[in-house]
Amino acid sequence: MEQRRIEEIAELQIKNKEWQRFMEHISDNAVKNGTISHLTMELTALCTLQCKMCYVRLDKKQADQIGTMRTAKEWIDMARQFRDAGGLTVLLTGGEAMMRPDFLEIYEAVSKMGLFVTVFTNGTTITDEVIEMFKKRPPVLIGLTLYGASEETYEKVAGVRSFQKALNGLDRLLSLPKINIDVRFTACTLNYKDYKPLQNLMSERGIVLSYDIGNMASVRGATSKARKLRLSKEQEMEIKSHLEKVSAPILDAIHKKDSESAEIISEAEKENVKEDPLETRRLHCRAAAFGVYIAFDGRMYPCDTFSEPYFTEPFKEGFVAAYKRLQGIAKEILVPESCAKCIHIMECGPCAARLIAEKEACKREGVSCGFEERR
Amino acid sequence: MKIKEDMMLRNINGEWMVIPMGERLMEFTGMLRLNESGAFMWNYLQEGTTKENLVEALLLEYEVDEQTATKAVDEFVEMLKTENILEQ
Repeated sequence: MEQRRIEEIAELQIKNKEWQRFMEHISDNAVKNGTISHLTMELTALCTLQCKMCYVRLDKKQADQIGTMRTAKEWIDMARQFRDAGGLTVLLTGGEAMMRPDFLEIYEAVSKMGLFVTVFTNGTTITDEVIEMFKKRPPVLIGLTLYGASEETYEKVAGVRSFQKALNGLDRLLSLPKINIDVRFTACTLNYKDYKPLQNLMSERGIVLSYDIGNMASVRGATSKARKLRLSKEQEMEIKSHLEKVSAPILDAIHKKDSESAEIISEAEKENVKEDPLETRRLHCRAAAFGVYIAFDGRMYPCDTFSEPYFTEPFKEGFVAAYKRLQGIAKEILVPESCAKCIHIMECGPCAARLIAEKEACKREGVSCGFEERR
Repeated sequence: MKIKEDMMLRNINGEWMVIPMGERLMEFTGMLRLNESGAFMWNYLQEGTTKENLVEALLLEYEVDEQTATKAVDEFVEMLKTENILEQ
């Protein structure tokens, strides 16, 4: 990657760090005051891709059996209630949120409310109208996930040859003058070998990939093969070390430009490491402590990883009442006892939601989580 | 004088914050926070007002003398101009 671009990314990351510090201040205050700062709205569970490891996507038939999609008017009203409760950041996601024909209506209304909006996409839905809207009202961040570096890989992973479409979507977004994009690679056994060619394509665009190798067990009625497609530890390390090598010059540039920021990055990373996940079986994270997730059918969960019975109904109860009730529910959530005793807990946890999802998948699929075999 | 339309004052957990919207969002260089009197003046400026009216409003709302109120208005307006938040 060109030195000039490395310097630009370093500047951007320092700026993003300032933004992150501000957001941490906001979420700390929300936790302290028992209020809220973040809302994720899953506008649809349907998607333009059918990724085999996706833990939330539903097909139309599955979604119809689970519940009814909320209208644009309902989502806009929900965002307004959240704003009035003191909320500040909103993530619009899916499925593929932008495949809704009324996505821009929701986006524009929400971004006019004095809320900071992030949008997650797979890049296949970037139309002229989306570009025009983002020019006028840029989201604070776009998270764009890629699933491989060729049509063949996309076909294997997502069931459709949408690689070029997704890449074109990314390029169109990158052509916007003021845009902050995090490009992510979600890896599984079907696509992990693409990490190098994909990073090469990103390097041409001055981007270092983020990556996700979690492959969560599916939740809320989704039926992915995530658990069967998990990478081995060696495969995970292969991706991690390559991307770390690519990002090393950027980290060096950050250190040179702003030693304070670099120190803060490492402190923040340290803070996220739980020393003893077995210390308690209750939620360690801040799910329902400063933010919540509302699924496509209107149910409010502590985060995207929870399923029944950990939900409330904001479209019936009102946002604030549903949030307060959910906080009560979240306090009673426990890591499954057998997971709490498991020596592999750090591999799938220590997140309580993930462990509960994993346990449910074990029951549903009649097979163990497989972490023991993976070692 | 009037506050530009792409900025919104919000109370987030007891803190008054100026939220940039639209294209202004990408110029973020740190969040602007206001105290109570700043928020008070902001609300007047949002509707459009003059320095004289702002001083008068401060004198009615707070127990301060004219010199203190004038200084507060001058400093506040100057800060908003520096941040490119005011339209004349």
